[in-house]
Amino acid sequence: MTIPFPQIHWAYLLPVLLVVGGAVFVLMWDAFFPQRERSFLVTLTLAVLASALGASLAAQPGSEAASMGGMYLYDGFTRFVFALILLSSFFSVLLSAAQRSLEEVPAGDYLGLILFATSGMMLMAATRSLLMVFVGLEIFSLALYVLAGFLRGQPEGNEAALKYFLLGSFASGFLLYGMALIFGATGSVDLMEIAQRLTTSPPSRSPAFLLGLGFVVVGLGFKVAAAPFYMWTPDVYEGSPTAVTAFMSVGPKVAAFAAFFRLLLAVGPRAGAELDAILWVMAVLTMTAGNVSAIWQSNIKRMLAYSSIAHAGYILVALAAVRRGSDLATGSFLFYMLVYALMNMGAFCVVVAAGARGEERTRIEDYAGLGYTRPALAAAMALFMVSLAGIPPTGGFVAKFYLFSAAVKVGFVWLPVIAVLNSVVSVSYYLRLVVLMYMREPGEAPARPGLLGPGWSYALAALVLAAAGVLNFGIFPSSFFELALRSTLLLN
Amino acid sequence: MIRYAWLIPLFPLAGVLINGLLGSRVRDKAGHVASLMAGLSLLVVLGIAREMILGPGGSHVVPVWTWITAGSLSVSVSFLVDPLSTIMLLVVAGVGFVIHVYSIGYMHGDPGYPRFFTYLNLFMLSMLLLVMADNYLLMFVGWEGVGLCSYLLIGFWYEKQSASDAGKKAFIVNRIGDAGFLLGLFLIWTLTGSLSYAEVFKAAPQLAAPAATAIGLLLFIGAMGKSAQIPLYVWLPDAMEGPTPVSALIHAATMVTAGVYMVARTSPVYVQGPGALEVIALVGALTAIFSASIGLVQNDIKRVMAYSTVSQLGFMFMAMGVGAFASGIFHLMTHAFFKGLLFLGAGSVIHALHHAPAAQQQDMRYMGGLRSKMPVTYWCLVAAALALAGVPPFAGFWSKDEILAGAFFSGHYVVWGLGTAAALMTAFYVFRMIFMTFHGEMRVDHHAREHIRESPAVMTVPLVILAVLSVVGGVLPGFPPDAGWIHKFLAPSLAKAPGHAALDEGVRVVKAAAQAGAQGGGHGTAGIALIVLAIAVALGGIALAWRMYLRDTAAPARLERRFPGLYRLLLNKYYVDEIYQACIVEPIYRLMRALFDFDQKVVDGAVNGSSFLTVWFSRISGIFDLRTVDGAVNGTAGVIGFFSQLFKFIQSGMVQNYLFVMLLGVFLMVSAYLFR
Amino acid sequence: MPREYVPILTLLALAGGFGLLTLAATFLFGKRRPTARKAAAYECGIIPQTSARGRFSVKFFLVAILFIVFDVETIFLYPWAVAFRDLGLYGFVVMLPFMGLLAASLVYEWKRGALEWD
Repeated sequence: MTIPFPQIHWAYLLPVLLVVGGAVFVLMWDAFFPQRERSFLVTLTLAVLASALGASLAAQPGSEAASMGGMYLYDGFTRFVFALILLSSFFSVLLSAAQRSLEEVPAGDYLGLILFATSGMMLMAATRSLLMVFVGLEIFSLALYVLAGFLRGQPEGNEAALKYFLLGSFASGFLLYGMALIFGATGSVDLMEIAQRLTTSPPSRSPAFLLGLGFVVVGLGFKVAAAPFYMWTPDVYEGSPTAVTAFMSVGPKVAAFAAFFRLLLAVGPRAGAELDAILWVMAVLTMTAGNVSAIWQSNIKRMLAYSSIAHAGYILVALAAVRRGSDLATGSFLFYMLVYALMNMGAFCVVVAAGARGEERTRIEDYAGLGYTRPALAAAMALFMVSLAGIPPTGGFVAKFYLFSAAVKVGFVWLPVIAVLNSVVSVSYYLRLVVLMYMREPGEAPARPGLLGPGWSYALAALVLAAAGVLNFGIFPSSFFELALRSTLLLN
Repeated sequence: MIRYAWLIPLFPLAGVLINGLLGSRVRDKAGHVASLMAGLSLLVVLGIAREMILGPGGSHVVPVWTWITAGSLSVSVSFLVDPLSTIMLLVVAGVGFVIHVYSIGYMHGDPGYPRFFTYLNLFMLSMLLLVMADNYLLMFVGWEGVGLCSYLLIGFWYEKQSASDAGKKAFIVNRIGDAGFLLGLFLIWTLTGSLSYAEVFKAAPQLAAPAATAIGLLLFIGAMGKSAQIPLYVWLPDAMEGPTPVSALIHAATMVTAGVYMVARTSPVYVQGPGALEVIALVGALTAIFSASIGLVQNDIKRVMAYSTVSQLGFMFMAMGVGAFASGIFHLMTHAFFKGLLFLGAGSVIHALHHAPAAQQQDMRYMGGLRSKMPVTYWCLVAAALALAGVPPFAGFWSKDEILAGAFFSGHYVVWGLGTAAALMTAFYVFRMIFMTFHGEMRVDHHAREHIRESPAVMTVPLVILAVLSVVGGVLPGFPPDAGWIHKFLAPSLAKAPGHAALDEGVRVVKAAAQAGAQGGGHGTAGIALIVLAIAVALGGIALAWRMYLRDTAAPARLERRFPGLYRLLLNKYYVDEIYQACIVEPIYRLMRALFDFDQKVVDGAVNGSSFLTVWFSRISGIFDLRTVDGAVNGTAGVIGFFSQLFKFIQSGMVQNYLFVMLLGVFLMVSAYLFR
Repeated sequence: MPREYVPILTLLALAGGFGLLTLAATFLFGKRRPTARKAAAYECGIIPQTSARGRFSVKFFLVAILFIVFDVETIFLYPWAVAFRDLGLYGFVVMLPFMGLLAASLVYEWKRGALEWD
């Protein structure tokens, strides 16, 4: 018996190959030439990410979406998610280069890990196979555990890494066990086959399948920081280096949500109404817990952590809508993630840029009077906060509008209502920062030295990119939303 | 000209960009830049208004670009020019421009001068978007924008604790209203499948009465917040902490009337759900009399105005509620003139007294006899006061009389009664203000006396302009009452706008009143009786104020002694703030505080379990203490505190607790799954 | 709950019950006469020199982890080698990146000094 050489669409595989190859190269380069300029590696990493982005945009998904027996799936959804992941990695590399406390770390290890994590996220999103979902998840999770504790001198970083690792392993266990149960109940790990089995025979009612599905939801819920599996988020976000936090708040969420979407699209319509209730409760709990806890935070990274939990709650609304078969929901999810990536990255970028050597500005109080000392930075932050709060005419508003209307379309009534009320609550803590920046005198002398650090140009690039995107998606969202909508067509 | 409507909001936007980005460069020129932009906007508005008024009118949509498309829903940024928005544009751009000019003088020398004008332009931009939008979503953009500007401008003097507190209060109260408004939009979208006025109104006749009522009530919650109606009016009096031009522009003439405009705009939906209109009428009437009664005894000159504004907004909603939409908009317009003038006049007085001790600058007990020192201000304010009191032929008479007549003829006798009583109080408190400020002996601090002089021309000219409008602003568009020009002009927007439903009961009744007036040769008997009564009420209130504050100056003190309880109740504004504080603010505050506490991270994780137990038990015993001592209100807060302690135990920073919660979640989920 | 799980639950209960019962029985009825020799770690073997709970250098862990990585590689290579002829060209090509990545990581470790003890 010989296995025939399978057809491989190299154009589809190219983005992943580029990222993995780049990761290996960066690692090797740093191992062989550790004394070289760090900016070379940064530029190289950015180039790798940019070319992968270009490759994925250039590769038009065709009819031959699945290769290697469904292990790798390149459709419109994959393409958009690739763009999102690569964009968030691009931003976090920019932020890492700008962050002063990361200047001393070995650049090759750090950037290599970011690239490996990126490849894991991409693989997780671009597959029909539950096994590949798990493999992808582990690839990026392991990289992120290390990245969280990358500043070894800081006890908070060590704490964050250890907590993330322990809880993450726990969640991975659930995920794997759930997959095993699903395999046991349906005899396949391929989502398409699972969906077929579910329609032909009715094992969807078997407890093993339902339990497995539940466990998978737990594992993915942990990665997207949904309640009640979000408890690690504030501690880990606060302790990790800011650039890594920014990465963690976008990339893994995109990947895990993408896998979540594929799972629900395949099994959701056949899995019964319990899943509806669970997603409903999860969404409400997540957004409420995030928003209510964020109100009185005194640390900005912690506040943004809770804010990202709340946003995960909003996205879960789209997830619930997808289970009910909304075609609008997937498009609005993609659009929401795009805007969320930009505004969240932008906010973290301001945190990075406001810091100085040796001391980061992580207390919210530190931002008092920023509108007078660093007007451009404060204006950017105000824009991101307004967008996160969902106030027009920013992208955050339009994205929320799409998301909630998708839920309304499929007949959810109270879920969007609760989400709207939640976003009303959220305005208070976002605007508190704006008020602090503009309506308070600066505390002590502002940390001027941070202004023109060597990474300043990177921060500037990230800020301009994010701000332009947030404004553009707020004022002219149509074309990108159309793109997001079309990206869902080849999903199944 | 109409197709250049997009220029109207563009000029203020340019002003925002210039002043906002180059604030440090333009410095003292900021006021001129902003006023120029407001003036250019006004020019375009005037051009459009000329075309609308002299030409055939009609309803024009000026598309700019398609903003949001989602499936079948398409929302575009396009501007609607029709009679209703023309009137609103005239008010907003006109009063806005006048107040911009006035601010150049009033804010002169303030360290935040460019910032002030940036906000002011931003406000103009948002307000213009609000009134020009051709769909609810764009209106919401403006709605949020004006709220934000109001918040920024109330807290403009952020060094003052009271100012930033007032800003927060306005913000929070408005968020409650906004939530209702947003939900209303969702409901509209779900039921009609669109958010553009034209399509919604086309679908409106098919709406079931309960659905239309639900939409109407939800939208009205938004209006209650923005336009300061019971129970969400509490922020407006405090909003007077902002600079006086802001009070005049935002918190009297324009922004607070956004709710009225929104209801009038949505009239095709409202007429489908009469229940919502009844609620609006009643809330409006109650607000009118409630805040007018508070205004009777206030001593701060701006607070009198503030409660007067709340009360007059109540009148406008009364008009909406009884279906007299055009009369409500008419009152909105005249009110913008005379209330803007009252505020600017008050600002002129405060400006003149700026050498007095801070606590006395706005306190009418420390004024008096300013008439000879500030003649222009005095006469302008008298014109405004006569207009507010409703003395013919001043502006307020025409519009207020129409509203009361509308309430009477549509059978809302209770509303009419409350409104008439409120009108009596209105005449009284506004002339009390005039007499206490300008007449009698001078009670100003000796030190400040020699500094009192008339304000500069940049401030008095706007006063005079508004005074002229307060005099003629009612006669010209409102004559003859009930069938005046403004009714004919507005009719297409309110009655026969694209997709407008058939005339509803309320609207028809007002028309009937107008017809009755026409048949009776000028006025029907009932109409004449009403008008005579209205004039009598106005003059009676003025006479009472004259008797109590000029002739027999001991009378107020006597009354105070006679009814101490009532006086204190009114002076303390029915203790509404205190009640809100105890029942809502305090528990929420405690919850937030507690949530914050529990989040304080425990880095080493070695937290002694026994100390938690101690805290719990002390907390429990504390609750019992509170229960018995402080009563139910505090007890509630205590319970919340107890739960937050429970949360604190969970989010302790300890991994095992996190795992515990995760497992708990898994357990609950699985049990929901398997044993449902 | 479906019926088919009942035997499994019964088995679990029996197995667990037997274990508990045995432990309880020895605890209740057994006689305990500990002596130093009986309590020693290796009752009939090498006499322990120091406490077994000493601290190890973290380098042991590093080496152990590296060992496991390559150990797993060997385990993975073994079945491949057995079925090499059957897998054909495809099997060979697929293994190349795997080997390449492992080789790269070995080089990386080497260059970063992970294999040096000091």
